[in-house]
Amino acid sequence: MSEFLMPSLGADMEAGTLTEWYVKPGDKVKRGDAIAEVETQKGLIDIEVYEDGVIEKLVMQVGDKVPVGTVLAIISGEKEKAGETPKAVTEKQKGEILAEQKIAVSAAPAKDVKRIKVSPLARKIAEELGVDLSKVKGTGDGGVIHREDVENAAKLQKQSPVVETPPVKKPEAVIAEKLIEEAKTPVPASDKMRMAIAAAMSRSNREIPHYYLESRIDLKLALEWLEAENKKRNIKERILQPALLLKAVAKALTVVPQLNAYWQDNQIQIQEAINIGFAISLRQGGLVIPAILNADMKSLDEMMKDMLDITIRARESKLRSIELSSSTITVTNLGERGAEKVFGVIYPPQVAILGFGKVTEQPWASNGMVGVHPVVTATLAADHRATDGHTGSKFLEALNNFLQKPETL
Amino acid sequence: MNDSEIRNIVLNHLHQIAPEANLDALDETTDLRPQLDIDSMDFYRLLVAVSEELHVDIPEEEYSGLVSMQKLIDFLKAKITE
Repeated sequence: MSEFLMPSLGADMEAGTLTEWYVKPGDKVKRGDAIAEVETQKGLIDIEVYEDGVIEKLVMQVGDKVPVGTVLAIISGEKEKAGETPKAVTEKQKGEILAEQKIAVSAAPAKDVKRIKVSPLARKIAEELGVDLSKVKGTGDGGVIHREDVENAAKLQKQSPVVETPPVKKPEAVIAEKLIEEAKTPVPASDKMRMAIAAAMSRSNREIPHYYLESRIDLKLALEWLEAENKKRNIKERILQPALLLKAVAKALTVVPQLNAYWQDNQIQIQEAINIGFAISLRQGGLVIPAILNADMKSLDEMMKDMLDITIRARESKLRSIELSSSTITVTNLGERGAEKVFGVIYPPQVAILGFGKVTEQPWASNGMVGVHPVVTATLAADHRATDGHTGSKFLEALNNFLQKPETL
Repeated sequence: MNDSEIRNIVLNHLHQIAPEANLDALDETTDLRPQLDIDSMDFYRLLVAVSEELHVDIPEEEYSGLVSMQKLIDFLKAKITE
């Protein structure tokens, strides 16, 4: 039996409104099935399940505004096979949900919220055993909850008959009330998105000590190669420069995986899957950052196809929840009409954001000669808690190396 | 096919790509990308859609010369009558 929670579809999401259930109690579901549709500031999004099972109960009803991390449904699994779930996704999900709850906690009145200090292992065990951490007394330094405390609490839970305790206001409930209050004074969707972005970015700037590096990259070889390649292709099969850049980023992350990571529980957690979120600005205001999943495994053609497909769906507000909740790093590409450099603000719990400015023709010296080359400035903003400038430099160097050998991309 | 028929086809695809844009206010002599706030992916989608409907190929080196409505119409008309 497991709780299916409202996922966080990006660090700037607080809640979503349930607009449709695709399933009813008794339905069998498989991992990856979309089971509900949720309206967020980013539009309507299908929410997928991460495990096989049977829908036991639909907890929330259509029309409900549901804070991130709140139970949407109960799913009974045949048996929870943790190994079947892609690691990066679940860890990411948990991380995002935790991160969101932290935002929520700081936004809620202090008297209703008690910050729980708990070791990562104890948290994991508590989840497995279904122990409510807010009811566990920690025996560690400063009341930190350890594994033993959780296990003891689980034993007690089994022994004592279930006593109906008066409902304790959970942080989620506090947020829910706040949201209901907000709903009474309608706010336009674009304003809500603005507010959500404001909250996430403020938190990033408050909590993450950013460091910045920039590197000018000569794109002469890459663009010549791309032009020759595209000449051979029908218009429908051509590859655009953003796909080439993203592919190079994915490759560079395989060389320097420390930037493909989350900062969680006060430590860096390198992610196995390389899911590159790329920022798409919406014309009606705001932006979305869907991910190209497993970008390092994709060919250049697949990368282009995915980017096109995701861009179209982002514009039509038809992104999938997994695409909005799985980014392990963000890339922002200003395109041909943008500024020459962009210094990004990291999306927590990610530890890096890479920016590409506009490609411009510049004098370029190489091999003792000066010529005019197309040049792009790549800027890296990274979390100094997770990595140092040395690591960031290595990444930009790797990126440059791949772009000098476009045929290997 | 005359100018206005081609224009209608282009406008129709533009509307699908940027439904919120006010196409009536489009200045046909200048770059349509900043006017409609469309990026390189969107512009590429427009060219693919138009080339499919009109059965013409648009070589990549022509892209940058086709960014205004008027230039695009002229190019497509010439291609069709080729």
